[in-house]
Amino acid sequence: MSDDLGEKTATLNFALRMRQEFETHGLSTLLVRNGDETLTLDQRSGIANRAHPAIYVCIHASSEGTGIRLYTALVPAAGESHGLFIDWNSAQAAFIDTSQSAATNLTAEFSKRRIPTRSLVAPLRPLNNITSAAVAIEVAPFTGGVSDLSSSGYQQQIAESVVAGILEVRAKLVAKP
Amino acid sequence: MIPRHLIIGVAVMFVVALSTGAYVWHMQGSLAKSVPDADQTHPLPPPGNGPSEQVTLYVAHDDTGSLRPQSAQIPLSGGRQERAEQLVKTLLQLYLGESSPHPIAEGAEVRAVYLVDPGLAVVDLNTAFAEKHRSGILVEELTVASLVQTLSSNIPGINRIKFLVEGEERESLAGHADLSRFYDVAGVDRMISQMQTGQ
Repeated sequence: MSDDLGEKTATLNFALRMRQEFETHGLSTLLVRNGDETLTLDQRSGIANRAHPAIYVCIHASSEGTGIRLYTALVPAAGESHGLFIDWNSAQAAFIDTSQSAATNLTAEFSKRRIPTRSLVAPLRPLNNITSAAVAIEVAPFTGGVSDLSSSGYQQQIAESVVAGILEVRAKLVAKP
Repeated sequence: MIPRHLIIGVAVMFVVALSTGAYVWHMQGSLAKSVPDADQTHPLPPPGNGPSEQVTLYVAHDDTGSLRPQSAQIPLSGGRQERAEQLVKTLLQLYLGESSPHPIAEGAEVRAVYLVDPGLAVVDLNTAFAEKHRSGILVEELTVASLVQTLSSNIPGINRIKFLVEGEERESLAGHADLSRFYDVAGVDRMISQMQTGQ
């Protein structure tokens, strides 16, 4: 991303900020990684699925463009599922409506805070493998400078938007599909 | 005393050896003249030496984060596979140009496009294409969507596309766009329409 700020560091900073904000509102969180660890996509989805979360939020950072790109999964055609054994590549399919509701609420919260937001779909892993509501947030600089990504004010605004959006849709998230 | 026939035999063999040596020396000289110096070679003509045809390239634009159709007149050969290769190579040249709307790193190449029935195209990228690609969800998905849409719109019958890097499967393009899957053209259409309209 830049010589001074790698994506791993930027996303961890956002995640820590979000955790603090969630906990302030009495919601427990589990971070897939707490430090400079390297996990495969399958490990990430395994950790998330075992925890049975109400929602999985995947954070990315980019120096390209501005504002927030909010993604829900573009799930491939479902493969064969047998009872408890769900097709891994399309595991998100049963949860996609809830994921989209969450994304709509998050977009509204970002807009309230005047953060430019685009709502998109993409065939992203591990999103496709998650068995709960799941969204990916790609955070780009607010005004165009990569230093925005390490600004505590910007991080706080984003964390507040995410938590407010999720609180709004909480009842739907807790209900199983 | 040495028999006369032995002297004649040795003399004949000596003459044959001399003539063979002279012939080999002459042939080496001719061969050296026929191989031009490396700096005198001319680049191969660009792929596609058939008649020019109008095609639509779906070009990624980083400024808007979307694809825009762009007409181009390019020489295309007759075979579907060659046409597919010429299309993606033309698209890549555009991205490698100076005023590229979606810069791709120098050295990036599409090694080959294979059309596998029914409806599957396999695009083989080189290492530089993936290793030097800018990292990010949108920037990587723009590249993938642009290749998929350009191929499927100009080569009838393609409905799935698989990307390889140096002939092998790879988990992602540069950390985000999933290359382990087959890209379904209908799904990519949905992704593109969201790119065009996503607020």
